[in-house]
Amino acid sequence: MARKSKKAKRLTLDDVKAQIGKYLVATLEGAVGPMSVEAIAPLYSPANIKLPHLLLQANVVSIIDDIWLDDGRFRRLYDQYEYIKVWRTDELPVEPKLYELPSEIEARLSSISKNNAYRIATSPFVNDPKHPSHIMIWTRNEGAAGERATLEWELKIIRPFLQAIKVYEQRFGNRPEVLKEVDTRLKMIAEKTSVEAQLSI
Amino acid sequence: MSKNWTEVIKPKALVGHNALSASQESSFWQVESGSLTKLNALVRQVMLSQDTALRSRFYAAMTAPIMLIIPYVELYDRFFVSTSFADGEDVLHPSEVVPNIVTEVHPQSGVVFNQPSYLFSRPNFSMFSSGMKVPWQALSTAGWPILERNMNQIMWEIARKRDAKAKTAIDNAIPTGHILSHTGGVVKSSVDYIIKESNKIGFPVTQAVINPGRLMEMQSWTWTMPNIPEAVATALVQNLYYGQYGGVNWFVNPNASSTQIYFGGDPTSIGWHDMKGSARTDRDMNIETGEDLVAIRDPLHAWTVENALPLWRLDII
Repeated sequence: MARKSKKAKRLTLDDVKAQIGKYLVATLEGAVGPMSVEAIAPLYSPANIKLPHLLLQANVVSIIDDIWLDDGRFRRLYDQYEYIKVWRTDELPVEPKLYELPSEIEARLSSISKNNAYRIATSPFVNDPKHPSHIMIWTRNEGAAGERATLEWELKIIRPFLQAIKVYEQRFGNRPEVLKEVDTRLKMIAEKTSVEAQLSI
Repeated sequence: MSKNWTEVIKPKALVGHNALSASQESSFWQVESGSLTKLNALVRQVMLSQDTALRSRFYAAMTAPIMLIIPYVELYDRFFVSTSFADGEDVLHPSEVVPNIVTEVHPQSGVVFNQPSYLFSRPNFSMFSSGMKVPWQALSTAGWPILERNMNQIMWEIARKRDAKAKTAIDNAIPTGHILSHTGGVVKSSVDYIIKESNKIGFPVTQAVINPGRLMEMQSWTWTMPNIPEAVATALVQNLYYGQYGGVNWFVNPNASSTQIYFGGDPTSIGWHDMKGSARTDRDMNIETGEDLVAIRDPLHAWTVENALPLWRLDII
């Protein structure tokens, strides 16, 4: 029996053409950069007409023109990159607030830490101690005076940062390797906190 | 006893010199001060000579060959702050990892204290070297400009190699979301996207490295504003591009890729180009084979991107 391929399930642009729906929408899924295609002006078109160049962004649903379903360049990109999603719909999805965090995390996070957390979740990750994202997840505090100061720093600064990475990661790529590193460190902080609490008693 | 030409005309010692600008030097040779008068006298003698055969040989030797390549100027170094260190010095860069936090609190609650949180990193250095071998036999036909050109080409090649390293450091650091993949010619909306998004995050792009052919596609952009300012229209007609578009300093060079356009902000918010030690040239001659040897050693170089947020790339796919 022939094996069912996951790839076969993806709609072709001709399938999309046959769908029913008021709007044709597209997005990019995963930790990928934006993509654009230059629109070609029709022959004998007046000078300075504004051309509908295509611009797709990761996790942002955009309405696109039907001309793109027949555009050879876009069809090539669609076949080449599986992360391009195109479909028809009657209702436009509510624009997700991709940058927002739960208020309890947001309140304990500096804007630069938030930026860094967002960047880690939207960039490729290599499980190597020298990789920038790995270094940030495992940030050490070489300036802390003693174990207690380190723990305080981990609780107040690092824990919300890791929680923010986790929220963003689950929202975008949901990559097990990133979540595993974040969870391991969160668990280590929790264990240290527990030991500290017992000693205080 | 008369001196060999290599004892009188020597390659410039690059010791203590900034090797970065070496690729842009107009001349790599210096004439021994004591012999300069003699050399000038020789040139005058030939110029005034009635011996047409001697004069034509001299002109042929002094005529520079037509350049088949364009000089290589480093393109990507502009995104880094250059720093120099002495030989054996330990190079350590501090990097802030998680900056401080300030919270709104009840007047009677405690203060959350911040502490410095940083890491130190040591860059990995690379070194480039090359050399030139001049057979004495070749001197009968190859004159001064040919030797100088050869030296120039070697320095351009070293610059090209250094630049490839700087580019790799940038490519490895650019966040995925900062790479716009574009199909077709470079259009206004793609460039505007990068300028707009970079301003949104507080690290505006202020400089770009672009192939002139790509920048000239600006001429066919659709300018949707009611009227293009006169100066812009003039620039578009005369140069096919407007050099100040978007507040970006467009650095054009034919050696820049025509499929990748690099954008960056202020180098002080990106990273370092560290140089350790000095460049040096060493000379010798091989009397067995009859050759003059010139060895060129660049200082140690390392490029480190500490903050990749000001870096963007437009890929033509």
